[in-house]
Amino acid sequence: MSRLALIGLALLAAGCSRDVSGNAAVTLRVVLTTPNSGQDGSTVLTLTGPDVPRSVAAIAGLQLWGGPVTSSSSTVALTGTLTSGTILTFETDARYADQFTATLREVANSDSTVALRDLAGYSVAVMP
Amino acid sequence: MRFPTPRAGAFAVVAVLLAVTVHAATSAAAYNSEEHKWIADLAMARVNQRSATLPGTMAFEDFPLARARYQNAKELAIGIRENGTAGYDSTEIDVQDNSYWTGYAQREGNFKFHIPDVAEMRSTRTLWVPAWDGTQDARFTFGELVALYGDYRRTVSCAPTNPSRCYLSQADSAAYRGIGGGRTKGRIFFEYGTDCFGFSCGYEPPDIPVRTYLAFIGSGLWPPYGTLGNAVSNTAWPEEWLDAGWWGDEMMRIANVNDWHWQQAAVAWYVGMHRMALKYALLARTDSRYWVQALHHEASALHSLTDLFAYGHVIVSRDRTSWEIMGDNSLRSTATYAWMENVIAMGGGNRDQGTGKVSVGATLPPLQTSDAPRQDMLESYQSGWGTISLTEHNYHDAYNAAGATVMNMKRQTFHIYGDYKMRGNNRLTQDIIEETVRASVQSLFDAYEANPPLDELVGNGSAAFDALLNIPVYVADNAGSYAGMWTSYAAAVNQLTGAGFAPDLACIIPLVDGRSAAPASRSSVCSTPSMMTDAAVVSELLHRDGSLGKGDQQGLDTQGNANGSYDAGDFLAWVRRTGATP
Repeated sequence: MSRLALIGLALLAAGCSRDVSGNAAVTLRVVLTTPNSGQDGSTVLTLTGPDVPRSVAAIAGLQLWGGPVTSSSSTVALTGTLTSGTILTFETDARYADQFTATLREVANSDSTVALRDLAGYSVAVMP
Repeated sequence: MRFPTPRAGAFAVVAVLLAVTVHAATSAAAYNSEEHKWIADLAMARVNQRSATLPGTMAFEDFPLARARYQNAKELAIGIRENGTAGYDSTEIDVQDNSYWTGYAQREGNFKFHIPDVAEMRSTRTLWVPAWDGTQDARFTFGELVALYGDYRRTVSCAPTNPSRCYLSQADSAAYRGIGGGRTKGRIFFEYGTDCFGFSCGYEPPDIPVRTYLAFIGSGLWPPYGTLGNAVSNTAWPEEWLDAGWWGDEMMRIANVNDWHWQQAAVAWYVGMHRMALKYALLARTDSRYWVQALHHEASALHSLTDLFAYGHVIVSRDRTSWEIMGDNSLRSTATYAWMENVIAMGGGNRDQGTGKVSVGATLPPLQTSDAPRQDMLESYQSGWGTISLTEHNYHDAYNAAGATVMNMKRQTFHIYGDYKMRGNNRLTQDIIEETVRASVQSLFDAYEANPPLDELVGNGSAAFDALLNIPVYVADNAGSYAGMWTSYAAAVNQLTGAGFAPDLACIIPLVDGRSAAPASRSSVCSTPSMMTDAAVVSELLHRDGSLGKGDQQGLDTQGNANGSYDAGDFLAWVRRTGATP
């Protein structure tokens, strides 16, 4: 197997492809850490990066509000049962992969009180 | 002046002639005292006093005997401690209505006086507020003050040199004119009742403290008033405020001219009084005794505001008639009336000096306050306006009885009625009225906490006026005289609150008073409110871009986590409620 083929396999393993401009595209995940896993019902977060993220999508079981994303700094909401782990995915150029950040704005309890959570203990991170 | 005269059969002839006036004189209240008290005290259970230090005479406290207070009041009135009339004995002594018997009409009201059952009480935490009773700062529940102000007291009068002393009475003491003799300060007597029927005596109840009798009135007791109202006579002379019958006389005198309980004047009165209460709440930062003045003004404000949950008071206006009566009795230049007119002006109200009509606008003048006279009694009798007042009374009764489905600026749709039907309202309506009171009182404590500049606090668009977002502004019925019409004060409320919910000016409910013809039923809905779009709900959450007005945001919050602002929790509740999808 040639060296080029080996590189190609590695990129595929990392979730990369090439967009129409020929740049390598990568799929990134927004990962939530919550002290109330399974008991949160909605969240608002802001995704910021050097470029407009593409194909922004909620994972199965969650609903994404505020799409389609058209700005490099976009605020979206998610509803559904939120658990620790991936809640959102998007694509961007590989060169930007480590430049996206996510900021958690609000989280609400999923019970009938729909009370806002204290964000202590919560975090979101953008990961490959 | 109406002379006190023993109520007797001699008045049977004039009773026929003046029956029209009697009915007019009984159009006192949208809700009865026990209803005002009940809903206002319920609201106090949810008020957060923040970091406020209250004077020693005030406190948020549990009141385990809250229900007993109602029972004691009804027992003095008609001798029974439960609802209904079972067990009533007209020969029982020491009972108010068995003593004030011949020619008196209050018994009907006392029979209907409803004692909340344990489930209806829901909470016994209340806010105690002092009022001077002639001998001491007696404690009343805030709900009792809401009931008393407006129906039994025109002004809020507090001692200029003592911020914690506010009066519910004309003076510390008084003497009877006709039957002679001074009386002990701070007590109410039943001298104008009948003590002996034949050889059976003891019907006049023993004298009781002023604080007790007023607390009973504020809990639902109807004081003695004649079957002719005060059309031809009073029970007591004007200065004999220490007789129980004086309080029935005063109720009638006020009812004759109570335009500040109705329609636009009610909104102006609320706003004016609430602005004054806010001023005193800020003053309480440097002297906690001002909390007393703040809560007395607030109680008067909320009497009028809660009246606007009675459909008759939403529709009918009594401005012109009250103005004429005050003029005919040469009372417009009195200090009491000047003080009251200033309240309306401070609330954005403007009275046409030709017709007496009050229009409420959105421009609030710089706040000006003054001391009200303690002796605020005015001899406001119907004079020649009995027929007009009767028509207003009949409209009031008819609209209250029919009720209507209405909407507020939070887009909450609910059904309202009127007298005796606070409990008949469904739970949603009760909750909205309770929330109105809570939000208004809470704004005083929020102001204390935040300490904003006074001009900003009492100016247009201030969050301190958010309680107005709860009151009916639109008739959501599909049929009837006002289907799809906006109240005459809707535009002012929109601008005062910054609700972002402009009414259709082509569909404003016209003036309805005793000189108006009964309106015809509409064949179609006049207008429908603009829709709140899904896109706006989402955009407001994500971008805070004004896609939703304040009214809609507060409405979503009310139906969500009710924490005071629109957020992810309210959005989640909206998604679940509407089934909306991205």
